[in-house]
Amino acid sequence: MSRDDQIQALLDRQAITELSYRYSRAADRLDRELLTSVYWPDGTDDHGAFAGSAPDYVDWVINLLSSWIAVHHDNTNILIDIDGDTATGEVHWTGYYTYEINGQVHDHLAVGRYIDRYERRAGEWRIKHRTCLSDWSRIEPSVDWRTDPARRRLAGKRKPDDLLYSARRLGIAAE
Amino acid sequence: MTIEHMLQAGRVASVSDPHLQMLLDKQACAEVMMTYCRAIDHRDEELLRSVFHPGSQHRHGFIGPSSDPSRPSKPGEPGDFVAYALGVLATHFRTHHQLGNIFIDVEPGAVVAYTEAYFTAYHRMRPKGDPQASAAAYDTEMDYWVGGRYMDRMEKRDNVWKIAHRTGITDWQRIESPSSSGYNAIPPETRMQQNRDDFLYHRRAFYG
Repeated sequence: MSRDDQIQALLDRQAITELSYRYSRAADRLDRELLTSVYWPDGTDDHGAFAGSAPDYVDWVINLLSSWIAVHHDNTNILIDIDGDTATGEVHWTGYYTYEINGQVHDHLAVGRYIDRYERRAGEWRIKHRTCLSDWSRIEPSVDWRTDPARRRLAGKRKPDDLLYSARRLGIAAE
Repeated sequence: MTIEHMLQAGRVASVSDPHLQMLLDKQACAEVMMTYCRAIDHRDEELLRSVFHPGSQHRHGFIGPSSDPSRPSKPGEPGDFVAYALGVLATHFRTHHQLGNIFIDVEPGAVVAYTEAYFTAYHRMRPKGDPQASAAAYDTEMDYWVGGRYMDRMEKRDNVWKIAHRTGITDWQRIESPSSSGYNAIPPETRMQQNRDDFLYHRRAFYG
């Protein structure tokens, strides 16, 4: 492998890793456009409770997460095997969710793995297929911390209200 | 790896290939963020101050300069974020800050990067009656978990990436009683230390 090929392999790995980060950001901020952009239009997804085309998955998951109070997805242990213009990956995910069950607010902590197929088309990597596996989870009644004003001020929100989308983030506008 | 090496986080080579430069810049920025976590968990003031450029501003619990040791602290009124954070950390027996998704938006050749890094933090809070406990301490020790995001403006000055502005956002949190066994059953030599007694600082001597 030439030095250029080695650098290209690092760039490919970075681009594929960032697909999982963008997927999480999109789910957490309810950013439909961003979530759609991590899959190829003919991509597919199998989340167990839903299996089908990527556009239908986006509709399903955005609808599901809309009613939840807090959603935070993290990715670690990212192992990617690249073979030309295709690649496979295993990504460990951790999900923290707060939502109501029978009128009572609960915290749901879950971990699992995405088993992915990626394709490069015209130089761009996207997900061709994602299978979501669940490895462990627990659900318990939550502590309603959002009544704490000190915490609420800098609390995470959805698109376009989250700081991520704000000019303040860029230091362009004052708070 | 010694403390001198740890204090070098953010240093980056200048190369002619713009794509390789971008990879090096992203790696350097990520290592600065991880060094922040390392400094926080070991209450390492020197290391914590090292991740901020002069003039860096903070909005995370404390609003004001990130690190300005010349600004005096008074009781209940820390002079800078570092003084504030060290005060908060002292009210815990131990903490663990972990990063997951790390976005570093940097254009080839740019000296400014906008970032978003997911964090998960685990804290064991000191109880009421402990001389180091916080004023808001519970009657018993408590486990405090929090997940959120750091959003930074990072700048490369003289080939060193550091934080120029940090905002901490809270996405979720949970406070509950610790389990009755658990941490205290772990052999002392593999427990963390909130200072430079931690194995991290001695691994070079240990491994030879």
